[in-house]
Amino acid sequence: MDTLALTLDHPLRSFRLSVELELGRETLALVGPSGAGKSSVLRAIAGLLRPEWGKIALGSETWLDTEAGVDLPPERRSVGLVFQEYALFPHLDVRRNVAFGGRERVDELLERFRISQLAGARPRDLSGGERQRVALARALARDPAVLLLDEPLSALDTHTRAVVRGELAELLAELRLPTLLVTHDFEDAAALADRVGVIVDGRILQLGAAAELLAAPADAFVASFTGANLLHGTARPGADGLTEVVLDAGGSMYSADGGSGRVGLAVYPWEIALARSEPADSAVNHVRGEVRSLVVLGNRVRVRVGPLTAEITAASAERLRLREGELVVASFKATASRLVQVG
Amino acid sequence: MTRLFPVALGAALVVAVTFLALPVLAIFLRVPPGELVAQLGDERARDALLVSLQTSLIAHALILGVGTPAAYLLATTRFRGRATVLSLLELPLVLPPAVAGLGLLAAFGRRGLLGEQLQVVGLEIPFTQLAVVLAVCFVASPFYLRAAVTAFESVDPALLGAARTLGARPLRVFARVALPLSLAGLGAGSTLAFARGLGEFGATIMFAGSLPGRTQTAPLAIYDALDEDFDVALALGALLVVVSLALLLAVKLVPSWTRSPSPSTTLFAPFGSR
Repeated sequence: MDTLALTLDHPLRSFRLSVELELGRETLALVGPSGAGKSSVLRAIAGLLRPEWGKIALGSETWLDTEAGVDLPPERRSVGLVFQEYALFPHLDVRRNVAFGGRERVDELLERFRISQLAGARPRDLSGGERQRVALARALARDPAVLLLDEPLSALDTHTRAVVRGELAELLAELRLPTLLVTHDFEDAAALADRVGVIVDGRILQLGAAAELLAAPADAFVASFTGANLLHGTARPGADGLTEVVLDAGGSMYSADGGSGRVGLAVYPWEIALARSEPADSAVNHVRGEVRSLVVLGNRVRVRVGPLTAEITAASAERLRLREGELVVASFKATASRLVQVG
Repeated sequence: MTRLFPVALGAALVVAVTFLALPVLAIFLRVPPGELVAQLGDERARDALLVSLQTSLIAHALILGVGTPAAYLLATTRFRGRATVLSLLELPLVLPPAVAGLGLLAAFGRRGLLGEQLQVVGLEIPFTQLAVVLAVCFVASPFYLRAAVTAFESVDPALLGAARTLGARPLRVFARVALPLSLAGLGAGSTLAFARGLGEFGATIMFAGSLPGRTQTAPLAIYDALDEDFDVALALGALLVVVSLALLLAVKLVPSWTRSPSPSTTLFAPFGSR
């Protein structure tokens, strides 16, 4: 079917938004810090922002071509845009909100998003999760060819967020529409999207499957943004064919990756093991330090030890009887660390 | 000494309230209510009220019809010189009414800027009811425009954008989203402009004169009746007080009835947030 292709170049506050994307029947997530230009990309596709230069086309239908002077108004572009705060019409009830996009499928959509019983309610009386479902139903009422989601989960509290994320993933899989979603949360992006693009200061640093980004982050920013610990240092050849990284903060770490000069050593929290004393295992990297903090996330615990954050199971934390201020050893294998360019 | 300041504050409030309420009360205390109603039967009073009503309604229709779309455009678009346009629209608010009348004569008078062109089409404006309407529009419309721009600006732009992406053309966005969400603010501004127009005096007397039955509005009739029949003046005055009070109450109460999200219950809402 139709592919959405876009090339944009547009000045924003302190940088230029310069993006080139092509998406078929898949979900692509643009993930980056706030102010990176993510929402501007969505607004440009929807026709709410006219870029200085750009081309946007859905299959053979040109929506925008600044050189040719083509610029379809938003109402003639077949998009469903879900706004960050949902932008539900406060003066219309749920049914009328959904019907604003198209009257034919209202009942079906109310049913599908489990909001039939709320048909007569005003948006201000709905919970965050309900608002999100109304916003999705409304965006789909127009039967759009492209779906755009702006921070679809950020307005929700932590508990609702986990539930809604699952529902949204199912919905996107079912719709199989070209879907572009933007978020500042890498975990959301990884859970919802087939491909993830990390965008900073208007540029896409790396684009690929979430697993690819984790396995081979293109640079230090991507590494830390995807959740890795990042230790800065200078690389030089070490023993056993490994690369030794002399850390700025003191001490050395080893990586199986090659590299030299200024580098960042990236290691993900789930690659780090904790023990009471230095283990006699295959890990070559050990950091002895005090437990600085313990944060429980469901069945996992995030433990900060010195410069590292480790993620272990709640059961392991219990077994080790970890308490703040106690000495532990954090270990990871040379093969678990990545050397990345420092930008 | 420490108690002096609170006492001074209280005294200032008492002085202010008494001073502002006394003249209004005096109108009603001077003549018994029954008498006031009887005086309204006076032919002159009736004519003046009729002229006031006619001209105010026509002027108000013009203010709403032109002001609403103009304010919407000003509130939803950014262009060079926008701030200047906004200031220009506020000018009549601070202009002395006599200067407003003078300006209208200079623009639409027989020897005014557009005098010749108007004569060609056979239109003579000064000292007609049309002049009253124009004078009222000139002094009253800024009150509505100000409030309307603020009301439209307070509508979340994301809602207007959402309506567009849902397939609505600009006219439908205006009618189905912007207008309903601004209704409380528009109502307040509209009421205020109507009240201001009803009381118009200075510009009207200069530009339209005070011809009984033609251009003599209620405020002008009050002024005229002062020398001859003070009771007629009081009766007209009392009626205008009642109308003004009703309009004020409407501005204060209507927003809470409609439960509109725009909490514009003060008459002098700040002009935007620039």
